[in-house]
Amino acid sequence: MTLTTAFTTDAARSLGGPEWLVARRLQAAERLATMAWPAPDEEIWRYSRIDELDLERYRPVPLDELGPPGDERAPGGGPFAREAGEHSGMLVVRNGRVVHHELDPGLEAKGVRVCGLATCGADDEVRAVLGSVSSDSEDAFTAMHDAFLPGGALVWVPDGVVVDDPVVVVHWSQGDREASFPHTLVVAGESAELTVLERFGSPSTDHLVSAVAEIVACDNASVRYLSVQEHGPHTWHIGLQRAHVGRDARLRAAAVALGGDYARLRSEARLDAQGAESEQVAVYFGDDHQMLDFRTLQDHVAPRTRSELLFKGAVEDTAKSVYSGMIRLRDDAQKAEAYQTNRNLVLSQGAGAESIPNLEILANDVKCSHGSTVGPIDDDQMYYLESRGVAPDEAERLIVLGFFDDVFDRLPSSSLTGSLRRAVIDKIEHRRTR
Amino acid sequence: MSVPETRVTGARPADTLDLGSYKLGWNDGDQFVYRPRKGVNEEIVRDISAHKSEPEWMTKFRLNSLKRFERKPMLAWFADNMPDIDFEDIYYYIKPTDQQVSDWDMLPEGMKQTYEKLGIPEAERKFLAGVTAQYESEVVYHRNRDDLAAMGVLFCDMDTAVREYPDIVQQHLGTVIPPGDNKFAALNSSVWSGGSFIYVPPGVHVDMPLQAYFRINTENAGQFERTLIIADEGASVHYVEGCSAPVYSSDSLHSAVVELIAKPGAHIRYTTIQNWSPNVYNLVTKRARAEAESKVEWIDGNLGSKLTMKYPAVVLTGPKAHGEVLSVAYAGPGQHQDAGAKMTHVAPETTSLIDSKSISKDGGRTTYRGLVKVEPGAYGVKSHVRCDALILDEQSRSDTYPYMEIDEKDARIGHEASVSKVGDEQLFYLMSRGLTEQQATAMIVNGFIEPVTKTLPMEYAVEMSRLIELNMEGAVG
Repeated sequence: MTLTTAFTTDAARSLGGPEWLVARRLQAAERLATMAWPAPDEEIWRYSRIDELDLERYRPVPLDELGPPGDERAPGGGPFAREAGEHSGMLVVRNGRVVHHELDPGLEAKGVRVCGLATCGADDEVRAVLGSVSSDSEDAFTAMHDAFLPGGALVWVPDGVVVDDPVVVVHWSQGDREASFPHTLVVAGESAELTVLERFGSPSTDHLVSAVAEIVACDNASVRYLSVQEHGPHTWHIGLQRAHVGRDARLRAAAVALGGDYARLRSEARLDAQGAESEQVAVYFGDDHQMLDFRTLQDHVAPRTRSELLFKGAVEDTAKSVYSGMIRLRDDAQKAEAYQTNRNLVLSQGAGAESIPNLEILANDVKCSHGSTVGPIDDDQMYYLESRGVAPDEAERLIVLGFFDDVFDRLPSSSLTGSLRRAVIDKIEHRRTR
Repeated sequence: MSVPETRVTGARPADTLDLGSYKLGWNDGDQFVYRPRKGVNEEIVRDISAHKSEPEWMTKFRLNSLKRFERKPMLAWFADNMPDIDFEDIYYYIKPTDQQVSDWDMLPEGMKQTYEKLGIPEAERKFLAGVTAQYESEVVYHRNRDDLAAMGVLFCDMDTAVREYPDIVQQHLGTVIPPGDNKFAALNSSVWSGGSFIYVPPGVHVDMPLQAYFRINTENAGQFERTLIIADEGASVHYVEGCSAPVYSSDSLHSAVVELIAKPGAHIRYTTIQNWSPNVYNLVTKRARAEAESKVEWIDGNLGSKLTMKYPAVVLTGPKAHGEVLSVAYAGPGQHQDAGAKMTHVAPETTSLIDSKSISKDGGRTTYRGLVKVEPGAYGVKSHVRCDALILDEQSRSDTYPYMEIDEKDARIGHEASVSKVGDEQLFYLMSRGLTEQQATAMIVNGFIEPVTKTLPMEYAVEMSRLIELNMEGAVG
């Protein structure tokens, strides 16, 4: 594409930061210039609202709003920072720039790093990993992300270190008709363990977020990762969450999507070596005229790997949801197991759900299945509750919450579960008051 | 009942041990009385139409379709599947003989032998109500049972129908699959020749299957038959087709268009056992319109061809209509069976069922590609899709691409799929009871496809099972 909009090479250069980061941005801008802009006739963009995106409306958040890297005098970070709960470290990221960081001193002494990519993360070790995961799944949005990356969050746990409490990363994006590019790099060294909770929010302004989270789980590491997206109703969110999982390593990734106007998430796990395991779960609830769009990949490169996926969603009003998932078992993935389930509740006339659970199986000695359903609330369940005196509204609420419960139970951290349940209830009740 | 040695599937026990070879691959040498040059353009289309002495409206239909074919881009995933197709290197029309006969003995000797070898005349005597045999572009043999004709059942080739029943044809042709539907439907609509036409009057039940057999003989030939089946209110009919071709080094193209119309309360069952030689591109558009309370079943066996891309569809336009696709695909060396089904629920309380079984072996690739679509307002829809794939060795591959587009609250849609190998426990169970590994594998595979074979007329079911058994020889689960 040609950068006729505000997303120019000069704009990429002007965001400042260390020399290597500027050079990296300019390289990405060059790549972006050679790429075609996504169109809805491409399979991966089918059903999406990409044709509604007018880039002319946006410009990257400029340097004077971002502040230079390392300037952490204005934490703020929206409401989420105050709700962080028990945590061993925290990063507050505004428009992709880290504006506050803190870490348990004991963990810092063990070599754990929770800080800005453009500041403490700017050494060769980190730079070698940065982009190594997302580049494997590059599209125009990740190239654009790299071209305007102002810094980003680094969570680095050295070999053998176990981090008990979650590391919380709070993202706040604001600026009318501006675009921000938050990046999170999570690296768990050999046999390391950690939990990362990310929250994304924005006010009710017209804003474009192109987010990337890269997760590296080295051999025998265990990573639990949750991202919660609660953007304002006019925000577009286009995200990639991708993990590379090493030998005997375990990934548990979860996503909760509630906000945004059009919110798209690619959730991907590549199982690189024997014994690697991944679990991807998600809860989504669309109301009003939202569209929540998920594209998932379970990519088995090595034998004896295992993956499981459970995505559950509901749509009401005129909201739409898309689930398009792929299990890919490559030639070498003998004895692999892969499961994929997508379930959708359609709560209003006018709402709609697309579900496309795909399989590409190139190995024969495997166990693989998928299932997918779309339907309204079950009449029998309603009848059961109503015949026991539960009012219809209450019955519906119970059934919807019950529908999501098995995913809520599998979230990597229970600290947010209460408030997420509340958010779902609010959405159901919101419809009734309209 | 003794089973004829050769039939639609044509596998003969005598040469069963030659695994992976194609049994119907002989050719009769070039046999034709008329053949324009290769390629497709306005001149050739006019030539075909003139040669058939067609009415003006059909010539126009062809020429309009040709324009659409030329304008339509090739879909990306089509192009990926067959990078090497050359539309200019194909004979679009070959007229094999001067006249259509209704007595096998009156066919030219070579052609007659071909059909004898394929077992068609014998099959006709035994269990078919009517037979059409198409050789290259034209139907060369046709016979309908007299009592059916007396009840008003029309069964003939499409060219005859255009001449003799122009009103019915003009009223229905292209209404289910318009020429601009896709590139290959447009191509077919411009150069079509042959195919079957069936009209069953209201309330008439055709108790035995009607059959057509399609044979390509010439190298680089294209076969573009056009089939239209109309079951009027409350009528029922079962139509069976089989296909084969010689093995040549260069490829042939089979691109049919099949339209079914089930009027209120009607029932159509359409069975295809496709066993094209492994150098045929088989790109077929099949779609049915199911009106109120009607039922349409596609039963689809894909065993042959180099590449098949075929997604039988039912558009459920009337309340309480029911659509079904049952399919079995087998992909051996060098084969890609990209098959599936498509259900479009337009009317309320419509139901559909898709059951797909696929087997890939020796580097073959099977793909299920399907769509269930529920339009707004189609309340009370129920649809269930089930796809099972067996992969018999490490070289083979199976893909599943099931699309579900649901724009109605009150619709219950389910999809499930599994991919597996032949289970060690199942093999152990059978082998510990004295079966060889090969017998056990064949038995398991036959059990796997049974939901489809049990719907076939018995003779077909036996042949199908036997063919699968042959292909399984040497298989290790």
